[in-house]
Amino acid sequence: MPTAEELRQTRQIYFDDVSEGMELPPYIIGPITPTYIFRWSAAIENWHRIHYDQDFATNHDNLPGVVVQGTWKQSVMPQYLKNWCLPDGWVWKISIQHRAILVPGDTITVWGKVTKKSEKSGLGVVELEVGMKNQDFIESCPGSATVILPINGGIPVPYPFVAP
Amino acid sequence: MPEEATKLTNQVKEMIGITGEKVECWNAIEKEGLRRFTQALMDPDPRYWDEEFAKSTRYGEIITPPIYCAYLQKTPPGEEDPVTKAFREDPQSDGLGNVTRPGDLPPIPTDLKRILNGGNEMELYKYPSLGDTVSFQNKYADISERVTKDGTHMLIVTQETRYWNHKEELLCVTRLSLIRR
Amino acid sequence: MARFLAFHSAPNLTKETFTEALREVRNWRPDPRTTVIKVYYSSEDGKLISECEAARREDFEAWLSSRGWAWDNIYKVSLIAQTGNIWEL
Repeated sequence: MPTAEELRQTRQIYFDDVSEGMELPPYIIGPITPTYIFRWSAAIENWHRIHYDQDFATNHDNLPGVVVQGTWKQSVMPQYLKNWCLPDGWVWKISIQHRAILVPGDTITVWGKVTKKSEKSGLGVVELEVGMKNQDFIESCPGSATVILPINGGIPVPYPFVAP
Repeated sequence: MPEEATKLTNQVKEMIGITGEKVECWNAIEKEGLRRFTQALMDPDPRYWDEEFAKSTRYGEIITPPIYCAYLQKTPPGEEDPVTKAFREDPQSDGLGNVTRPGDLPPIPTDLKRILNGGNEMELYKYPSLGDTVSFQNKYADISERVTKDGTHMLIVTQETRYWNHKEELLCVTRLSLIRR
Repeated sequence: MARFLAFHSAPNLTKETFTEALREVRNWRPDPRTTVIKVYYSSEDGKLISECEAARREDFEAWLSSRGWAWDNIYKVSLIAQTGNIWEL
């Protein structure tokens, strides 16, 4: 994952730089520990015991242990795409489904791949396939996204964002 | 085996489009909550904390992570502690309990009790700013039925939530698909 | 899903071989419905107790075989008391 300094200096990726089939640089997160999971629950005040109480998770809910929150995945994915299109691109839409559970010990790879690009109203519309896999290549959150990129020499992506 | 009757009854269909009350989240967006959230997310983006740098970006100010506004609905001071309530009602509570919160939609009139998260969608328009107060409103955007190969009927309930700042600027829209089975 | 306990033997396990057999997620969670929650080992006696959540006893047996750990007995768990919490499975 990028450092603060890298995020300060991110070079803009333009619509022109993107091609269908192109893979985004992946993020590697982990190995996940129970502390990461607990910290997220505390930050968003989610008191569901399956995220911090091992006994409850295994004995009441028959889970493999405390589990990574779906809400965490929902925030990591836009983070990943935001960082890819910084400083002036915009993550417009994301859609994900929750599949395999992620547990402590898992190392997660967040990935994206460009499936389609088109221009609309002077802006670059980039469709992507996205997901998060664990170290055994089991997909946890398959989905899709739409990111708006500026066209080199073109108009800026509006902010607040207005759909093209 | 007799074919199972549809679960997408007229009563259920009537829930489509139902909108909850618009609710203002307690407290404006502030630095400490933002710090805790971004550190838990492990996103060190200086746009979230370095004022000088944030001013130099296109946003012109500190911003907050995508869908941060979806996590601002906290229990206001003075209201009953939801955790105490959950364990009083059920010592083996899951920690969440049967909490009804402002803005919640009425329950779907179905005997399908098991609820699974079928997926999430989001549309982003603006990052909330420090000092913003955020309001939200829930709606049953859609309810559909799916029948599995073994003839089991499920309902797919799409709950949409819109978030605005105090200037009525739309911040984001989230959609949660819940599978009832 | 059910909880099983196996009583079995694995003489000559070291901390290193125990770790290698059990640390990685794929080793204690061989498939989405089988989780080996805990394994206790007595190096003095070469005895193991393993606890597994699985859809079927056979899935647990398959895991034990994959470790090369023959079992003496496998029991289905119905009640757990853990630090004052009682769980009925």
